[in-house]
Amino acid sequence: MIDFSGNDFELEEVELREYQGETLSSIYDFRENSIKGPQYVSREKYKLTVTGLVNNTYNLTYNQIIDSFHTSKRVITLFCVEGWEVKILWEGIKVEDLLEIADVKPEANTIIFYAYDGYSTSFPIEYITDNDIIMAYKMNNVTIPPERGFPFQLVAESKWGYKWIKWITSIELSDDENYRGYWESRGYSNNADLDKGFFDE
Amino acid sequence: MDIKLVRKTIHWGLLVLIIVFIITGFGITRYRIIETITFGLLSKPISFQIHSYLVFPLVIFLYLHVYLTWKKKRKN
Repeated sequence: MIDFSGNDFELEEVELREYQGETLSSIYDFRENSIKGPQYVSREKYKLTVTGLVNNTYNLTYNQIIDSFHTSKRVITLFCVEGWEVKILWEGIKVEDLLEIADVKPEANTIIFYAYDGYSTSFPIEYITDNDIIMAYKMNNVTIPPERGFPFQLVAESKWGYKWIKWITSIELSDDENYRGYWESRGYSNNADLDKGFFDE
Repeated sequence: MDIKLVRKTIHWGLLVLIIVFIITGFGITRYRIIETITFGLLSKPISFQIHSYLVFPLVIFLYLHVYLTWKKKRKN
């Protein structure tokens, strides 16, 4: 008989395919289209840096983030410019909560996210705060796997998929409204609103 | 107007369009490979733009290709 009482026993996470009456896509429905392929970030060595135009630059470990912040869950669909889409239950922490600790300077107007693979993207700060944008660490009730952006993926609601940066390692507050991320500097819209084309500014 | 030349242009033009359409399609979905092969010339955004622009000409060339072939067969 299997002994389930051991402390080292951990139940395997099983992804949800339905949430509050909504049918969800699978975490296997994504297409791999990142700039350097899947990144494998060490949970133990991971540190998220919040820097730039802030009064309090700081680093947090993965566990500190997961244990210290309130989490929220939302079902949001990611629309990729390639034509596919996935409806996922995202669970994560509000970026705004991270900014509160950082104490953002008044001259900052842009938030830039950097990823482990060198990818980056930016938003006006108001977009992040007004829409309660989250950095997800779970999708469909499963810890985000490395292929999908472990430890954190930005859930950039109402924006094209290239704004949903994966493998986030640092957040920089800036006053450079003209900053352009990886795809944006190659011609994609910096605004990336879903109701507009991804080449329209 | 030389109908033979027009027909030939349409047929070959369609072939070229199809090939470019397929390559730019891969330039979107397999952009890392295509960018490397083309030494960065055919990036994902460029592939996207060319691919989108080609839809209309492709439909026109396909229509003309079918029409001219049908007309030629009917004549024979």
